[in-house]
Amino acid sequence: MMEDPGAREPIVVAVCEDDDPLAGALLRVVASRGATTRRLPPAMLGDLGVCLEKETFLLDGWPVGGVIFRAGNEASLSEGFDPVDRAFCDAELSATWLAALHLDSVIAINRYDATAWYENSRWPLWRQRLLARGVRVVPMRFGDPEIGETAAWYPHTQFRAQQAPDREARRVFGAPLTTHQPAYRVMVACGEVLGADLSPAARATSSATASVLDDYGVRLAAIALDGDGAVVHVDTSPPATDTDAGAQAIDRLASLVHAHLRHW
Amino acid sequence: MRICVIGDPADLTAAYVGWLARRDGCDVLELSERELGVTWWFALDDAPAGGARTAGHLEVAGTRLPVDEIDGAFVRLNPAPGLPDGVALGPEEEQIFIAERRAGLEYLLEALPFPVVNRPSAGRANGSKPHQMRLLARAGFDVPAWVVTNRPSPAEVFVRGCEATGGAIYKACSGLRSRVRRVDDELDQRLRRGTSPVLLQAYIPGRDVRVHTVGGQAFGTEITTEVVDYRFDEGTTSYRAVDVPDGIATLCADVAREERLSIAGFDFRVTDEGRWYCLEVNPVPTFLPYEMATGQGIGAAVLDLMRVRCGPRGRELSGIC
Repeated sequence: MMEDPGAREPIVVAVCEDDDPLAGALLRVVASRGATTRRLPPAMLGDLGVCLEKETFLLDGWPVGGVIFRAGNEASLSEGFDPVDRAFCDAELSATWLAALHLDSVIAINRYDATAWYENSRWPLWRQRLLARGVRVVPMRFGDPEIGETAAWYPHTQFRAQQAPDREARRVFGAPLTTHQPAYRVMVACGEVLGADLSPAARATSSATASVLDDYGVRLAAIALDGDGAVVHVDTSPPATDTDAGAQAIDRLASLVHAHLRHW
Repeated sequence: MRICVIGDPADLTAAYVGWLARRDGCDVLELSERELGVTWWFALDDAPAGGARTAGHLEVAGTRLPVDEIDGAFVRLNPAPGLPDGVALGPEEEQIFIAERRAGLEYLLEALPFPVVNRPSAGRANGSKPHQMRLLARAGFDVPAWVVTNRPSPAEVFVRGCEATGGAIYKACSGLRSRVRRVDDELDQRLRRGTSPVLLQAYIPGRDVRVHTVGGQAFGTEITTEVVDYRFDEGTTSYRAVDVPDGIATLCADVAREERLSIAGFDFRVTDEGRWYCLEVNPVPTFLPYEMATGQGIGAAVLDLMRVRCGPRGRELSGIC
């Protein structure tokens, strides 16, 4: 039906910006264990030859066995196209890559479900999913509640503490407000909490969160917790870390990729 | 009963549901996205101490309404909702404003403790047709053979493979509205020039059937047309109600439940031999033309979802809406 994928070994690609050290480090470890790897800047995805059919995903004729997908929320995927066509091309490429990440033949980090994919894996989605699974999250109020002046505003579309806006803006944006601040940040990989010195409460919450994330196909994330061990924030595209936890995460993810390729 | 119609007040389906509800004596709150923060707003606690459900209130035209006193919501969001009257921003600020307001509204719609038809997170697989077709096949539906590519060679191989069984069509991979076409020279030229990925699919000779599911009910409508894509036909299309085989209705209901879709529109091609091929599931179906042409009570069924919440099955049903 298409180019013979059986004639070539599968490759592992990282869709990431050039300045993404975590993806780069992971790709290097994967390559050092014998896999062919390729780094793909998000903006050039539209330039690649794509063929997706049944259980096979080919890029420029190479079968893809693994994808480390780290494109940012706002990344354009089709810089090579005419500017007036880019929004459409981005939608088509995004649809194609979502389907590719869910093939049994592809190990994906992270394998976002369609809701997380199209909602840019924003923190409110994970908060609601954790709530639905009974995981402890920090108290938060939305919109125009009675809440102290010390509350911080965490906009829905980014997780960066800001001074609470005036009443008019709270009402327009359904502003998320909380007085709880992040105290710990832990990395999770493949459903496990890595190398953090946590209180029993924080460890229990982190483990429960890691399990929920893994169920949703999120194999790499960072979790922020408050001093009482409640989840403040989940970041499914954590930046580089030179900590032991970061090294452990890379080792586990590389092992996951190789286990998949062995059975490819 | 009190319901909200949220999003785009100019949407015909939303206006129809609001009209039906008023005709039945319901109190209907029309909550326009553009007016959020102007004529209405909310205050929510999504994890109240000791409570399993969201607490809080809506404030509409100066009246405070606890969310416990509202029975349901019907949602239609406009892809380009615009700024409130009197607000002018530069292009970048406008984009940020609208995105943050939309995210706030979506959070509300996810958190409200009553049936919301549909919640924005439901049925998002429709944004990727190849992904959704894999899910439909795994659920047990027959789906036509397909390939996604932006290169001529795989497309030619695929099309040749379809020649004996009716040929092939092509369409967008994403959920963006696009016309379905028979494979033609224009596609070939696009692929040779360089294009974004295109979904090619085996053409299934037969008839179009749309199945709307609302809760556990299925409403089938057969569409007769002389064109490949009846949605773009202005002259030859006609509709009639048809029975949906039990097995297909059950599959539709199962997929809708799995995707958390209180209402869904399943598109089928049905062969002369009676084989039903599922093409896609629309999470925001415009059911009005089908209801107007056939008299099926789809809108009434939507209201029933909210009405039942007032009865003993309410808590159970609100869990799936």
